Parts: sequence; C-alpha cells; structure tokens
Amino acid sequence: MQEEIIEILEDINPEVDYKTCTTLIDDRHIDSLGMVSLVAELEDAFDITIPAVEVVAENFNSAAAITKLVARLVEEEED
Amino acid sequence: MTSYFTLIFLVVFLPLVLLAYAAVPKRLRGYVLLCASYFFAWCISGPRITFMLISTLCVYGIARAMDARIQKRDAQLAQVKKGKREIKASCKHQLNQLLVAGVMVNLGILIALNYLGFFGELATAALGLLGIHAHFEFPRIGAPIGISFYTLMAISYLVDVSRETIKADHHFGRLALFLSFFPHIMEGPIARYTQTATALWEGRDLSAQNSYRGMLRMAIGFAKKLLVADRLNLYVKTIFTDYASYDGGLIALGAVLYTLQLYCDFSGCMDVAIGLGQFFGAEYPENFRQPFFSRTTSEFWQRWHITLGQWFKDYVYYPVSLSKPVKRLTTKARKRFGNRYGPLLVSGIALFCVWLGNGLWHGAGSQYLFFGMYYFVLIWLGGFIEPNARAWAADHGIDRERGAYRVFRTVRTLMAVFVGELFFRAEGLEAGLAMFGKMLSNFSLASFADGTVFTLMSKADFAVALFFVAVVFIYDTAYERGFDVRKMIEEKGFVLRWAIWIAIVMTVVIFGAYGFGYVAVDPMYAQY
Amino acid sequence: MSETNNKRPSRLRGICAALAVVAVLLLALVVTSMIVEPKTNDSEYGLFDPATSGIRAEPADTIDVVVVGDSIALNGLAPLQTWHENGFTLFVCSTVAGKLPDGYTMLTRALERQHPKLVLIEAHPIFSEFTWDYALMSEAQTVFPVLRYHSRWRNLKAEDFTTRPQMTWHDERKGIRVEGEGVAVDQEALDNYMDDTGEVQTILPQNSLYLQRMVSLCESVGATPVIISVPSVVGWSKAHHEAMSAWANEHNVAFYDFNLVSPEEIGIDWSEDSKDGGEHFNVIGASKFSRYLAKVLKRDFDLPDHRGDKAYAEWEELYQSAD
Repeated sequence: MQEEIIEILEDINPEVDYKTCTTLIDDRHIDSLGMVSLVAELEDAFDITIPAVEVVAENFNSAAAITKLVARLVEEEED
Repeated sequence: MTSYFTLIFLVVFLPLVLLAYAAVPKRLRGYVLLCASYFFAWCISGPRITFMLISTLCVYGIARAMDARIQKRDAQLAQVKKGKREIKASCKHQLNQLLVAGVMVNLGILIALNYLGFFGELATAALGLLGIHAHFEFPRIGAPIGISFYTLMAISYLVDVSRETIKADHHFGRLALFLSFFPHIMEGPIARYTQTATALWEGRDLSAQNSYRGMLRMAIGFAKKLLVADRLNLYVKTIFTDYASYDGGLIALGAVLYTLQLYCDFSGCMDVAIGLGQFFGAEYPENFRQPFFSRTTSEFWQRWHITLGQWFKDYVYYPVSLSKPVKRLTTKARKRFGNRYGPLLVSGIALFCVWLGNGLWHGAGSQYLFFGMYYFVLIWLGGFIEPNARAWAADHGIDRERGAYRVFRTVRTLMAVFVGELFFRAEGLEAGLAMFGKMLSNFSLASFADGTVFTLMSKADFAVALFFVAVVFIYDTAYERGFDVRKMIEEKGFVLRWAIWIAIVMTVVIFGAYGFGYVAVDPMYAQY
Repeated sequence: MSETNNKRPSRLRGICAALAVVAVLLLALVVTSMIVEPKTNDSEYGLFDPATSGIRAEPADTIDVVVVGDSIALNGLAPLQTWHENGFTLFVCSTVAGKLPDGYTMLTRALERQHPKLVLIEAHPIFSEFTWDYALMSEAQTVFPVLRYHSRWRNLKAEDFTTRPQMTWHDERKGIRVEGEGVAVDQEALDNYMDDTGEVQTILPQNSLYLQRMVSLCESVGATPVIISVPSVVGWSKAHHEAMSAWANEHNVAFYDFNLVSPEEIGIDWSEDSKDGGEHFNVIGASKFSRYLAKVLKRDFDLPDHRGDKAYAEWEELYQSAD
C-alpha cells in the first residue's frame, strides 16, 4: 500500500524523498492545493472517504502516517 | 484606555491585573483575567460588549447541545451491532444543523453590525443596473472591539466540536476567557481553542522567566510600532489623503512605506499580544514569519497574518474543496484536463471563497473586495505558472532558490504586495485606482532630487526610520536563518538581559514617534 | 535567575533584582531628561509654544495677575495696556487648544517665582475633553521631561550636556498672541447663544479634578483663584454658564461670566472686534475687553499700582514702544 501512496505523492510533488521525510505538512512540501489533489486521488485509489477532520498534519506528515490513515479508513469502510 | 500603547495600560491596568492575579488563589485567577478582559473591552466599546457576551453564550450553548447529541449517539452505538453507519450519519446530520445555526447567529451579528451598510450599497447598485430604484437605510449600531477576531475564534470552536476534534467546554468562564482575553481582543492572533483555552484558565503561576519573556517581547513590539510605524505615518498619512498633489514616484514610495508601517504596526502589536500572553503562561501562535522573504504571493500569505490564513484554510478552503460536489467536479476535471490542471482549475472555487472572505473580513468596502480578488487572481494564476516555471528552470539549470533568480522572485512578490497594500490603504477604490494610475503614468524621480520628498517627512525622521527599518530587517533575517534572537537574549545573564531591555525601552522613549509633532496611531488592525 | 533550594532568599533576591532594574530605568529617565530639557525658554529650544515659558524669565515677584487658559485667553487680553492704565502687571500663560492638564503645568511653572494676587482661570478649557491617559502622560512628562522633549534628539547641542535650564527669553508681549483683522459675527448666533435652554453642560470628572488642583495650588501660594469666561460666541452657552456657576458655588471660587454682560456695557462691537466671527477677539476687541476687565478687577480686588516704580520701568518702556 505504501508504494502506491508514494507514487501518488511523487506525482503531486516529485522533489521530495517520501521514504524519509516526516515533515511533509510542517515544511510545506505539500501545499493546500497538493493536499486537495492528494485526498482526491487517495479516495479514488482506495475507495474511501477522508473526512475533513482527518485532514491534519499528524495524518499527513509522512508516507507512513498516510498509509496508516488509509489502512484505518479502509477497515472502517468494511464496518 | 484605548489600546495597549497607552501609559495608562502599561503602568496602571497591567500592573493591577498582575497584582490581582498573583494575589488570588489559583482557582480564581481565570476569573481575574476574565473580569480584566471584559473591563478592557468595556473601556473601548462600552455597552456594545453585550454582543461579545451574546456570541459567547450562543457558542457555549450550541457546543453543549452538540455534546449531548454525541453522548446520545455513543450510547446508541454501544448497544447495537448493526446499523452503525446510519446512527453515525444521523448524528453527523444533526451536528451540522447545530453548527449551521451557530455559525449563522455569529456571522449574522457580525454582518448586521459591520456590513449592512456596504451590502445595502451593493444591492442598490445591483438593482440599479436592472433599472430598479431602491434605497436601503440601515441603523448604525457599531461593533464591539475585536468582533472580527472573536467571531472567527467562536466559529472555529464550534466547527472543531462538531468534528469531534475537541470536546465542548462545560465551563462557561473558560470559554468566555478564551474568546475575550484582552491581549488578543484588539488584533489577534486568532488562536484555536486547544492553543490557549486551558492554559489561560488554569491560572499558571507567574514566573521571573515568563515575565522577562513577556517584557522583552512587549518592548520589541513597542519599538517596532513607535520607532518605525508611527514615524512612517507622517509620510503615509499625507500622501494617501492628498495624492493628487504628488507625483508617481512619491506615491510609489508611499506604497512601500505604508507596507513597512503596516508590518511594523501589526507585527509590533502581535509582539505585545504574545508577550502579554506569556506573562500568564499562554503561548499564542505566531502571526508573522518574516513575510518579506517570500518568493511567491501564495507564500506571502503563509507568512503574513498567519492565523487568518490558517483559519481560512481550515474552515473555508478545505471544507469547500473536500465537499462532495466539489470533489466530484475535481474528478471530472482531472479526467478532462489531467492530474495537474484539473484540480488546479477547480481549486479556483475554494480559492475564490477564501479571498472573498479574506477581502471582506478586512472591511466593508469595495476596495477590500478588490483587495481580495486581486490576491485571488495572483495566487490562482500563480498555481498555473508554478510548474511551468519549475520545469523551465530545471531545463536551463537554474536554481530557483539561490542567486539572482531567487532575488527576482522575492522582488516580484514584494512589488505585488506593495500594489496590493496601495489599494488596501487608499481612501476608497476610486482613490486607489487613481493613485495606481498616477504611479504608472506620472512616475518620476524628480521629487527625490529636488527635495520635495522631505516636505512629507523630515530628513531626520527619514534617517531614523530607515535606520530602525534596517534593524528590523537584520532581526528578521536572523530568524529566517534560524537564529532565535529573543531566546538568545533570554538566556543571557541577569545584568546583560536587563541592560538590553532597558536599552530598548530608552531607545523607544527617546526616538519614539509620539508626543508633540506626531499623531498617535491606533493599532491599525483594531478596526476590523 | 538561579534557583536555590531555600525559597525565602530567592524571593528576596527577586525583589532586589526587580528594584535594581527599576532604579536603573528611573536613573536613565532622569539623566536623559536632564540632557534633552530645553536649556533656555525661547522658541529655538521650546517644542511647545514658547509663549507658555515667557513668564519664567520675568523678575521674581513682579506679576500681580496670572491668566491661564487656551487660545481664547491668548487673544483676549492686553497686558501692556492694562499696565499703563491701571498699574498692575498681568501675564498670560496659555497655549492654543490647551487642555486643563497643560494649564495646570503652566500654572505650576508660573508660580515657581511669582506670587500673584490673582490667578484668572479662563473657563473654556474646563469644558474641553481629555482622556485619563492624557492626564497621566501629562503628569509623567512633568516628572520625566524626556517624555515631553525627547524629539530634541534632532538638535542637541553641547550645552545640553553641560548646562542646566536658564530662562533667558523675555516675552515682550507678556504672553498674548493677538492678531487678525475684523470678521463680523453672525448676528443670530450672537443674539441666541446665551439663551436659556434649561440644559446644563457636564464638567467631566477629570476636568473637575484638575480645576480643583489649580484652585488648591493658587491658595497654597496665597493667590486668589478667579474663574472668568471671556466673551466668545463659539464654545460657550447658558448651559456652560449654569455648569460653571454650580461648580464655582460648590467650591467657593469666584466666577465672572462676561458673556452675561451686554457687549454695549463692555464696549465691544462684534462686527469688527473679532478675528474669526465671534470666537476670538482681535487687537481692538482685546483692548476693549481688557479695559473693562481691569475695571472690574480693581473694583472687586485689592490690586496694587506700580506706576512710577523703577522696578517696573520695563513695562512702561514696552508699552510706549509698541504701536
């Protein structure tokens, strides 16, 4: 799952090393527009809905955090 | 007492508040601050502070209603095995209804007190275009101080409760203090509930360390305002009132000096606000991050009035962009225009909402609408240009972050900002357009050569202003490079750090633009 | 500050430290005040209207009547004429748009070396609003002159560091600043401005406080305070009179309202005696009013006649050389 997410991220901003960076939001590597695109693509790719309350730095500061969020939402969808 | 920048605030009000705070038991300290805050607001706005109380009551009540509904849902969820999605959805729906009600009441008060006249004008003009003659007359009640700030804070609190990011506050006093605390009531920063509410109400002990931090921060704020901002006002006031008498060159300088004045006035006031918070152990968020180092207009608004930009991002931009209809549109656009330009095009909708709001938030007038739309266009277009610029630079082996190109980006951004501020300050949209036109058509350096420029502000004042602008620039550069200048001072020994503080205070006393020959300038953002 | 295990010495250290900082700050304020304070009282140094400082150069104990007020007083009197016709000396200590705290400051300075019989307090500033912050700043500026004169950093001279202030400039006009041609008053305003409307103007608490302080100050140096209202069609009314009258009665201070005396009796012709259509007198109006004022003051108070006294020769010289 993480590789797929990293591919999506690289499409939005290719200048970041997503394997190591943990400050994607704090250092503004992904700006607001990037976030909107990212959310749209994640929702598309994994068939989930990301509610606004989840759109926070803790969930998006690293590829790992995003993966965690997506995995959780995928599981909740199956509820 | 009209603002923080008065003697009566510094040597009467503040010491009394600190004394009372230190004297009472810890559990009463929140009440001391709450009373002091309402007293401060009353000194400025008199009975109109009732509106602030009404907003507080409304938000308190609605948040508690939301809380009750959430408890009910949780009780239901615990009991059933199936149908959880419907239960959650039903609760969400009702929370939204409560949220809409709460937002409408608060926005309604804000609009009724500040915007009716302007909206009436717009309606009259619009109907006039349709050939309908109408005239709207609205009573002017006047708004309490800080309404534009505490209204946004109240709305953010309600939204956060509805999203279950925070729990509704059962303590009315704590919520009331969060909204009304006197250091932020005049000009912000626009804090979130999680940032200051608990800290303020807790009644943390005063400490020598916090007191010094607060005093240092406040001294820096006074320095920026009195040494630079109020001095530049000499020039700015004249050129904006009487622009027809001066050539384009002087008007251009006016735009630049006004931007510097606004920066020093506003960030200086933020220093005072944040410093005051520090006395009581509350850490307010920063509102400025060396904005004149921005490379793009978009970046500028992430470094200038940060808390306002973040409010619009979290409570307008994302909700609009991530709403179902806009998301559907984004998907369609991505298919049609590709993954890059599709979202970019649709983002215009959210951006438009943000800048409409941002512009109008600053004032009920057509020049503020213009101001908002000006930045909307610049930022939206910037989004289209950015990837192309990036590619072009890569193709030509140019590093956009260094050297001449970096300077070019910054200068270009600053010029856009100066023009934006010209319109912002002008006495109406017509005057703004006239001044802008003059700047282009009548630009001349003659007034600098023949000394006319010194009729607007004396050589001595220019020299002092320039000197202290340079000091501020060095201070900001240090921060941009990662040197926390204030922290470095705070960590010095007793004698040195107090010597520095006294030096700053005495510099303000001697070189400050106050008293005879100067005009006192109320904090500039306090009118919003 | 270092932490110690024992709380009491730490607290004592804290208080000592705070006091030390305050002491150094106060010292800095005093030293800078001494440097920037104007070293003479003429216009080159004075950032305020130098007219307010003229009295400080008068020989001690030579002024019989001190007048405090705003532009109404500045334009309403004729000290040299009063001297020549009556023999008592009158000096005006006022500033344009002056507020009561300013008047109080000027009075304090005036009474440093003078022991006048009368202090005339012109009533218009008593109704002029000012904030408590303005008052506080005024007090602070008296204690630390650097807060008033700090802008003198632009033109500091060597003397500023080495000398103390000396009052060298003699105001040959004795404080007045009368000028201007005659502008006729609006007749309707003249006829109606003292009509009884039943209203009473408010005297704000801060104004009352400063007026009381001025009265006390006068009494403490043996001068009789007298509140006067110079005729002015703008800024005065029956409502003002009622308020002033009530205050004066309550505080046992004499009050003369010359707006209630008919222009004929005073000798004023409003069609040509005012420089701005009724608010301020011009030279002619000031002369006529001063004549009447002197008559009233001599009637009700015991004023000396120094004509012929060599110590007052300068006054006669100045009167003769003025036109």
